[in-house]
Amino acid sequence: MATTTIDPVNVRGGLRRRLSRVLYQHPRLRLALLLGGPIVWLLVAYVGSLVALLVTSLYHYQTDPTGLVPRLVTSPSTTNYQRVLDAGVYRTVAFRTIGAALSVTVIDLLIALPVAFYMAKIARPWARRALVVAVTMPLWAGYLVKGYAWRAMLDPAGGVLHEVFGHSPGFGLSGTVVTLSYLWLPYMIIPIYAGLERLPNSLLEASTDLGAKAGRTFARIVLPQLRPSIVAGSIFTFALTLGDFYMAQIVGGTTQFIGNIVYREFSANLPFAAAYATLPIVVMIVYLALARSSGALEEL
Amino acid sequence: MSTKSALRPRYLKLHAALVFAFLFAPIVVLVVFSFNKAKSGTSWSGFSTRWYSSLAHNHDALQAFRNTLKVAFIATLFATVIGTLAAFALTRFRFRGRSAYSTLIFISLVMPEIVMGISLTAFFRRFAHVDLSIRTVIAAHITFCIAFVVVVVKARLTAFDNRLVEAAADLGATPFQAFLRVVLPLAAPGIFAGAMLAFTISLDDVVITSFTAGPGSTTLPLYIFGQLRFGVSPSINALSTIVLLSSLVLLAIGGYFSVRAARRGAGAIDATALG
Repeated sequence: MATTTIDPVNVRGGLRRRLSRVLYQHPRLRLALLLGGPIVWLLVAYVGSLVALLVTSLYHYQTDPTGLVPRLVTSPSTTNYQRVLDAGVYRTVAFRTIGAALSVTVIDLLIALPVAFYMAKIARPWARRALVVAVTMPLWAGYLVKGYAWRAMLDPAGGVLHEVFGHSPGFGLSGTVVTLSYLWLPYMIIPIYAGLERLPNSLLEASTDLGAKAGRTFARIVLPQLRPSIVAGSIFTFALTLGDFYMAQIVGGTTQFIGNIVYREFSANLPFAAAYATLPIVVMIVYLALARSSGALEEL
Repeated sequence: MSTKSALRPRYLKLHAALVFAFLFAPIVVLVVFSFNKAKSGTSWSGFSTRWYSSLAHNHDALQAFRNTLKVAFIATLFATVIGTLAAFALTRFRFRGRSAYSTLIFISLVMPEIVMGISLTAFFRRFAHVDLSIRTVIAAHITFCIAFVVVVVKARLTAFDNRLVEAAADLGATPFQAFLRVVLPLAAPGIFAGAMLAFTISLDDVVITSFTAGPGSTTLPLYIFGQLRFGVSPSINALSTIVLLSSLVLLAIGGYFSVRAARRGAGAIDATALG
């Protein structure tokens, strides 16, 4: 009896050793264990929900001639897509949203380029890190909080902009574009800063030594090298604007974006909201395909 | 130095100063008016902390704050574990479907938020047949946080020196021990940074939450937005200032720990190199 006494520590160690040996000898099993959770979650929650979106968008509500309650028809039809294409208002809203996304991207790019250049190439090394922290700091102040602050600034009746500059764009499309440009600016500055930091100073000096003026150096040396960073930043500013609807509600007055309509319809008419929400998916796929064909996505 | 003169640093400096003013102005306005005596959110009438003390008795706001913390903690925990595993698999193994898997994570990172919000709703309501509640909010938050954790942890692991694992094996460590004692501590700053990012994104999310929230699952951002309908009120400014301050404190703590962990990680590498 005494000889069969088992040292619990050794058994635990032995089990662990055996387990790790099995895992070591079977890399595929290790991989399956490692990837099982994430894959199941991503497949169910992400791919599954996208499929759910597409399937739901093919349902539609039919007004029952006898009753008041609309009936959900689950046989697939393109009714919702037809409605999106036929009614001019949905087209207008779509173009407005895409236009706003492009404007925000261009505005942020124009603001970010010189700032990022200053941060990466002109500021003293100790100041660089502080400036990076300063750029990301506003990201930690709540999204709604900043939108709310912009409401106080844009208010045409006594807002800060009106008091200080005597003019405010007020609540509307331009106010929304300004607010969204503000919100997503760090997402453009950071990748461009990272790209510029990787760009060797010697390249700029060589260009200047060969007689290129600042503008030419920028256009011929800096911009081509920065393309992947610019594309990365623009994906964020574009996608974030495309999917936003709270700012249109807070500072947009009566301005409506795709998201406003999707949100308004989603509790009453989920199939129609789903159909309209496929539009930003298509736009994003086109945008990513364009970015990819420019060869700028390799670095991400 | 010639590049500096050619690119006119003085104008660039002025531009940078203006941009930083632009970035911080709305936040300054917000904080200042949270101490305004009058109810007005736009004209100053004296210093007061009464909007802060009124928050302490606001049950709805406190409940919303509790909900937000609960969602953020649970979502961060799950997203960090799942995201870290995925990042390990993506950087340390070659397997079929690896690039498709990377693409899936990348796409979930860049898809507009309304798309994810409405797809998750469609999934919950039409196919999983679950009622919208705080559980669906948590599930949604885990889903969008995973991608952020993967990206951050992956960035840390790609710089990882595999010889350290080999050294551990040579010194007699089992793969499991090597993982626990070498890989995990070195990846810790990345995992921590990923978790911090997930936590703050979850705290702040309103778009996806508004699609997946049911009765009784009002989070702080949803509460704040609901209050905005009743017009501008300094108590929202006060609430926002508190949220801002807590994020900054969290950021500082996170920064402190990740710097310390990075130093330790670097120390471990030095020690290994010396040994």
